[in-house]
Amino acid sequence: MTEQEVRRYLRQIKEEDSERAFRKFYEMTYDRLFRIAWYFLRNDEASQEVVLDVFVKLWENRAALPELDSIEDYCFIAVKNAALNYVAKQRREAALHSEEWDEESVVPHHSAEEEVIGEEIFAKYVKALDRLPSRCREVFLKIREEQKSYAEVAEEMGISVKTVDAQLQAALQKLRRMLLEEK
Amino acid sequence: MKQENFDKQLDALVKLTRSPRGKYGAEQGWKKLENRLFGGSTHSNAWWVRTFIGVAAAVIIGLLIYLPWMNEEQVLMLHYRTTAEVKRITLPDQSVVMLNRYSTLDVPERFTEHERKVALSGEAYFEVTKDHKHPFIVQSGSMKVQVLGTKFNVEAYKRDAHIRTILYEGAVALSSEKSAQSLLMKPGDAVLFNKSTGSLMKDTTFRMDDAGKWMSQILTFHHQPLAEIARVLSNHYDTTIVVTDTSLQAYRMTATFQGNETLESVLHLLGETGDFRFYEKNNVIYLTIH
Repeated sequence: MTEQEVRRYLRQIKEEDSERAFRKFYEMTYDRLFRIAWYFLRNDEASQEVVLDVFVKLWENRAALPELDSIEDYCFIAVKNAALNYVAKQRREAALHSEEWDEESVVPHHSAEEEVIGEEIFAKYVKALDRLPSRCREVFLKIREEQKSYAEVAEEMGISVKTVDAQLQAALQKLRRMLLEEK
Repeated sequence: MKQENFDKQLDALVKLTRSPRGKYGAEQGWKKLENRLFGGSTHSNAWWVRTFIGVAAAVIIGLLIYLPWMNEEQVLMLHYRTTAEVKRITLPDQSVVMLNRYSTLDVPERFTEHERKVALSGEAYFEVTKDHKHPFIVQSGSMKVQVLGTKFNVEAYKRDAHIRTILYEGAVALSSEKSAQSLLMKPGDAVLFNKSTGSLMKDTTFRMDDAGKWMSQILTFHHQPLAEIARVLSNHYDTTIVVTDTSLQAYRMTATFQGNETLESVLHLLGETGDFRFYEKNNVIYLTIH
């Protein structure tokens, strides 16, 4: 997915009020926005809820979208804000309903290691993931994120173990290149 | 991020998030989203359904506003920027803005309950939808333009000493925070706001026939002093142009350009007629007597 492709859909969405184009745009960006929300919320259900809210806003503001400087940056900020608002709301509701509430379950926290990495690099990572070819990304996520074995992945995707390895190496190479380049 | 630590850092990055799966994936998500936005798989476009939904939503929104814990929502600012082109922008209230070259406009994603406020640096032409309950405000530095519904142009380039406002239709109130001055404009009026003193005054050199042509990418000057021509060219080409001699500054010229020529060819043509030469030094262009 490139910024150009996305822009093309944004223009279509605006000019034709096209649901079809909006669905395409949604399919291209949903996963990345989910990952961004999860970074702040650490929860699947909340992440989906927040991301869908952001898509509603994007649809409502569709007239303005093609003229934005960077739709990727805008989406990141939109999701971050929505996630932080969600957390704040949870806190308030928890405080209203009970005297003792478990800080752990309501407020997501980041470990010390994550603090060192920082939001900017995370944003770069999430962008870079999106730019991988789809099969390449699928292999990378199954192996690194889901911690599956080469054999499991090979069977699931109907490819040979050699291909799995090749795709993973390609992913690592591409990610390294994208993450190390200066903006 | 160092090359050697890459694998470790990548591991840490992977752990920071998760990809959507199963019922939290895109497909399932779309079903929920489609319902909210388009009313389910059988779209009911009957006007009475849409009206009912609109009214119900308005009532709910009305109630929510009074709940105390809703006040802290952050508002996203949309930032529009142009370089060598003119952009057409539609605002949340359906007002239309033409943003000239090398300008920026900041618009909130949603206007507040009391007013519609935007921030401008550079030049823009506004066609504002009528809304008596929500005044439309353009903020440029310490000058405010407040309108209800109207057509006007604001020239607020960073490098200029003044901000110029031109009113085409409707009514506009200009106010200066610095001098606590305010002024009511009529259609056809052009007012200058002095950035250093904060004072407002009528622009006597202004000509209506030259105004607004930038939207069709045309630069026209009717009997304008070279100092003013240099100012307009500076903003159009985003380059500082200085007229060195005072007699040359006051020299009046008439000319029309398509706006997409090079600055050099424009200055060359003007120089031939006006009998001046130009040279560049440290990214500034100087116009001087032969």
